Amino acid sequence: MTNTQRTLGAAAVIPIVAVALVVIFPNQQAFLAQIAITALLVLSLDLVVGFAGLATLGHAAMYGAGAYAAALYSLHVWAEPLTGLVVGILAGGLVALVSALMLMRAHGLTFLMMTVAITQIIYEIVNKSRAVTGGDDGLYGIMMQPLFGRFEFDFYGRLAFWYAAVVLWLVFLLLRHIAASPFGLTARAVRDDGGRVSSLGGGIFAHRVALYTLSGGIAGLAGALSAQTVQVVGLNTLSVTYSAEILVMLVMGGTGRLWGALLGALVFMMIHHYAAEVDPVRWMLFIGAMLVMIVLFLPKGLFGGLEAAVNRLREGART
Amino acid sequence: MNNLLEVRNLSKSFGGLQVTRNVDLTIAPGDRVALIGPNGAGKTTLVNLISGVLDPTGGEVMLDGSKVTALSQRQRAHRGLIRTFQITRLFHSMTVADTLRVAAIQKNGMTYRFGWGGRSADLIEKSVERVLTDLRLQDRRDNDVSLLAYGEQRLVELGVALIMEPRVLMLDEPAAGVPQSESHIIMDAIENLPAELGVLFIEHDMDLVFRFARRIIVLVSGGVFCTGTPDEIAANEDVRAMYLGEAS
Repeated sequence: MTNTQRTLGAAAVIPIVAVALVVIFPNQQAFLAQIAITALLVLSLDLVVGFAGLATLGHAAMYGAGAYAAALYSLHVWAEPLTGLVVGILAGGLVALVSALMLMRAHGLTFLMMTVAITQIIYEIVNKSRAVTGGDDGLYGIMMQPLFGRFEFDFYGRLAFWYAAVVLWLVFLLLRHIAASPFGLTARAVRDDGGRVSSLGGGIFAHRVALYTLSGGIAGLAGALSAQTVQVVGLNTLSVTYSAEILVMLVMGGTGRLWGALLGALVFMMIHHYAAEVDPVRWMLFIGAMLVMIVLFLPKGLFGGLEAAVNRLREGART
Repeated sequence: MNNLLEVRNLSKSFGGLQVTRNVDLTIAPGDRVALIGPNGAGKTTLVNLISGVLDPTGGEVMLDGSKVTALSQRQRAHRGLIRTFQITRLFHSMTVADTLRVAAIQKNGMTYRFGWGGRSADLIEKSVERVLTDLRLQDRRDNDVSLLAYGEQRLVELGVALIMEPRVLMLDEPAAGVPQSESHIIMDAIENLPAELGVLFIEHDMDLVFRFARRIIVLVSGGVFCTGTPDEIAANEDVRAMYLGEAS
């Protein structure tokens, strides 16, 4: 398979899955929009965890920043959706940049604890700034103007789903391009052995800051999409718990491949949706058990397992 | 001939323990200098000090007549001071070609490029192909480095250094851990290094030392014990007694 064929194949997957999901779940497009937004957020986390090799419990800080910024922008400045997305990107990117300047000097457990601390600080600032952020009531009544001045956001989430799916698709293609670029290759090298990159004249700190900022911008974009489509922003968007939840999604799907982020978000959200219907209290048991099984038997996540199974089938067909 | 690298009175202490003692050395273009000494003599520490991994307690490192003592390892690499490591340090998730590309990206300042277009990208591909050809690794270009035989991994380690087009190359035990059956690959590669390159190499394999070195520095307890041509070192009774033993 040539590179062009591979790229075209990859580009076709998200549209095909999106259409399939709408056909299978025609009345649940608001939920499907949430899956697309969550997948976007987990993709952004993959840049930090999978490509930079940094385990974080603070990714919701950028997501929440994007959500609050886009909500405030639409409530007080302009309710046009696309400029709202840009505001979300800038807010998420700015929070990521400022925190990265502190975080990227730390390693291992110190880094992890600092991501928690920074997220908690931002959470408390937003909680105490009730006049602006609504405190623990959050922000509501976010009414967006029609997309491109023409397409109205509807109650059933039809436009919301296609809007989120298209953004997810574009970001996925962009990240695939970046992953194969000199920047992406250097990111993998820094993850494998930062000291070696330094011995070749590469700047590890600046590179990690850039990668974290890019990731924060995409997380902010996901937050802005959520604010615009759900029309409510709450403190939960900034919580460490939510950060841990998206990390679980990424580990389930598989890190460092982008596809794993998409698959992990889809599977987690589906299990959440249906298992919570069966048992609203203990649905996390399903997730916990599944995570244990994946870590033990599929160390490269669901996508890695799927890929290995396909490769085995191909080899079997050849022999 | 002007020296490429000059080390003056270089010292390093960890608390009360002095591991490098007032070392002086010079490397000129085309030099092949071997650094030998018993285990614990401070050879790798000296390379770490010269390359900027460690900060010296005293003394100077000069590159092309300019002081680089206060510069980071990264800055020294940009000035052409490149090293390899005693234990191979390659990017284990990458292929041979990608590993070389990473080095070429750093060399050409393309770290923050989000695409492969343009003349710089062509330069990178050309330099990757050149090194693959020079080291006879073309057949391995798409193999994962982690799956190569150790001798080939050492060769890729050397390739990573060469793609940086160094002015001074420091090789830390280039043949360490390489099986006898594969050591000729390393020897051929060292023999074919660019003539104008200044090379400082640490090695325990005396065959390799006496084959390639034009000058040998014997390091003992962090200080220079003696310096000389291979013939002079081989004839030095103290060195024979202390270090070379039966190998001489």
